[in-house]
Amino acid sequence: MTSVESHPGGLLLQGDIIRDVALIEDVREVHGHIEVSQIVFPLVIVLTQGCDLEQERGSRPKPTDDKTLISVLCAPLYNVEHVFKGEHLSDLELRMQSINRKKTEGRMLRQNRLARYHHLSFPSGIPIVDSAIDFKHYFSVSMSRLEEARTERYVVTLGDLHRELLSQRFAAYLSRIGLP
Amino acid sequence: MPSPPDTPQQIFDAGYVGRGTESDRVLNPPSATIPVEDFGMPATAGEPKGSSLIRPPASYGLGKPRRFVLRARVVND
Repeated sequence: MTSVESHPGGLLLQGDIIRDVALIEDVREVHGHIEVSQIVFPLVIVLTQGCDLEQERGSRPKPTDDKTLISVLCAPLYNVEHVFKGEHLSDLELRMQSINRKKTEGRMLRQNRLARYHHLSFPSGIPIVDSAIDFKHYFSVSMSRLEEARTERYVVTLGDLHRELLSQRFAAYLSRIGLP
Repeated sequence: MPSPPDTPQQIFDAGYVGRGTESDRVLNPPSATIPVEDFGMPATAGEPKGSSLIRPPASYGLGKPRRFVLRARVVND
């Protein structure tokens, strides 16, 4: 079970889970119309380091903008049952590989032993189904947009131990060495 | 409040979900399957004149990621 904390109304934190966050895919002008294509993720989790977020908003007057963040790194949370079926991106017309939940690979995913995925199982009071993060999927959102989203659509924050575990596994996956 | 879009052309004009060619979107807008009341809210008064931008719904539960293409007419005035 994943431990969680509640910090509604506070500032953006590493491990925050926020509803309905958009990734702006493309902006283009087509025949006199501006088209903005965006993917709206039902749930995302903040991956940017807590200390960076804290320094960004430090309360003391800053002589420079050295600690300013251009954007915040997020990863989508997918319903793990959709991930097992390989259908979590079906509304984007993408078919992913299915994972048999009853076989070794499925068990390993739930036990966080598959490097690519991070499984989260929330306490019963939290309205989120068992979820998985796919470390191949991450994107950045501007600080101001995400803070605005947090104000309106904050859900919960991962507890510190689980936050660190997620951070460490994400970093390990990103820095993996691809052998031929 | 204006009526929610319900025909493919209205959905296309208002903003829609899906991808593919422009004609695909008009002919087969996936958003046609979204309940009308979930489709979204009209643009607010602060948006540019002539905008046909429709906001995505505030929430659609714990579903899957979806693509929205918001469309606004460029107006020179």
